[in-house]
Amino acid sequence: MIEVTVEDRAGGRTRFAARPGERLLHAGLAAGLGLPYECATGTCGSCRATVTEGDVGSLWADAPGRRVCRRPGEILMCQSAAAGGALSLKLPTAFRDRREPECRSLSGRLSSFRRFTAEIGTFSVELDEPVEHLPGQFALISAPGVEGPRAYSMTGNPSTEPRLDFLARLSGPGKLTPRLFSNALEGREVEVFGPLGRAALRPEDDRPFVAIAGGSGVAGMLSIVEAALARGHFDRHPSRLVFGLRSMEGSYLLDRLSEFVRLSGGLFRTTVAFSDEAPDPEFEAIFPDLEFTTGYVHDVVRSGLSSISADRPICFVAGPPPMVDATMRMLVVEGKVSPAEIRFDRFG
Amino acid sequence: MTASDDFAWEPLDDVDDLEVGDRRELSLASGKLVLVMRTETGLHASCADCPHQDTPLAEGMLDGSVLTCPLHFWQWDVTTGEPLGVAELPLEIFELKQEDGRWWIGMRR
Ligand SMILES: Cc1cc2nc3c(=O)[nH]c(=O)nc-3n(C[C@H](O)[C@H](O)[C@H](O)COP(=O)(O)OP(=O)(O)OC[C@H]3O[C@@H](n4cnc5c(N)ncnc54)[C@H](O)[C@@H]3O)c2cc1C
Ligand code: FES
Ligand code: FES
Repeated sequence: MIEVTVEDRAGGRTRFAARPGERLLHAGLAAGLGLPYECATGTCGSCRATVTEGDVGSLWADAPGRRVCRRPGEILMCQSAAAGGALSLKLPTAFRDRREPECRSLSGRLSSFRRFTAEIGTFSVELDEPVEHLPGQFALISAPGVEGPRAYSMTGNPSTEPRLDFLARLSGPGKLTPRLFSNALEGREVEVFGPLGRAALRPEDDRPFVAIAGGSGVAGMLSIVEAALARGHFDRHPSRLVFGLRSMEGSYLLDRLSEFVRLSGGLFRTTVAFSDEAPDPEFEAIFPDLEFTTGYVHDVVRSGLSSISADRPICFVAGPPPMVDATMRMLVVEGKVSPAEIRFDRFG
Repeated sequence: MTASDDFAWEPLDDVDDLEVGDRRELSLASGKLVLVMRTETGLHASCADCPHQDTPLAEGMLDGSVLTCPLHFWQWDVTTGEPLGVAELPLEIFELKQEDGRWWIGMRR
């Protein structure tokens, strides 16, 4: 084990142990430290730290998040491992308080992939033991033959069963998601690290919410809505989901969302926004529990901003980075919503 | 009170046309980049990059005296540099003065 000392901006100092080759972010989070991160997969740059003593090895030299590492000694903790000898790191920010369940590494097996449309399907990982998580959190999956882990959000209401359910969206020629779709990895052993993410519904949350999702960003929202139904949240706090899709053809999960609306007695409302076309009445008639509209999700949310200002809901935002950015900008600038009230995940 | 001598003053051209809500990134003779913006209370200047991850704040949003970074939405009051919302660090603010019909920016010596 290698001893790692971390100092935060405020001068707070703590230590954790890392195995040679282990990602520093994983080792620190598993030790219960509030290290900064967002994507945990090398793209966002949020886990930047400066090596003040010792050496690290880079696990992904071309990680896009490295654009923020412009000064000597700066590294991404999610893509670096201790190389041997004592290591000291300095964070540009303060330690975060940790209110999420503990993170750890588990092993499990991939179930078969159930494909819904050409680009959407679900899969599960059967774990050796159950793992606690909050609705809305994600986990990292490392699969054989694929360099580096990938992030996927849990879709189910957290349970005591040793299984995690996920939704995958095929968005291009990637290394892992396409192999899930082709079932090339069915039954294979994978490593799961988690739970991660702060865009979660917490047990103490006692307010309405507005969930805004684009594409696979709906994955974590499924977990949030299911958990909210189970704890009777909507009886006290009617809440809403705005779900952005491109078009009617290839739309997904509308049956499941309709069921959620029915189970809530209409206290949970769902608006589906198609960016590329207007919904046709025949299509709308198939899903009488859902509301349909045209436009980008942030434009749809803008039209309901007055109720957001009045109800002061928790805002959940998840999806592709441009969608998250446009929505955040609209909420913060036009809606005057404090960023502290918004819990977001950029899926990329 | 800080005396004017505590600062090295550099001229700041190209700011007279800024209207309320406008902001502009300027490169000083010393090579330093600053962000100059106008609010209802006047002209203000801050460092050009976000103290979190160096994102250019010229791409951020200015609403009243609140400046918001476009990346993780840290916010500050640009009249004081005080952090607001989720911001963990203050924003470095520079002194400005108008003399001989010209704006000057003061860097602490
Ligand atoms: C917080 C979060 C939650 C997400 N939730 C979901 C979800 O619920 N469903 C879903 O479908 N997608 C989700 N994504 C996106 C998902 O993680 C993948 O990026 C996407 O599925 C494409 O994976 P791929 O392997 O097919 O593509 P690839 O192009 O092979 O890889 C995509 C990502 O993998 C990482 N990566 C690539 N190469 C390396 C390497 N050599 N070393 C280390 N890392 C590497 C990078 O982060 C890269 O952006 C989420 C992303 C984030 C950040
Ligand atoms: S958390 Fe490491 S790059 Fe995003
Ligand atoms: S880079 Fe500005 S808030 Fe993170």
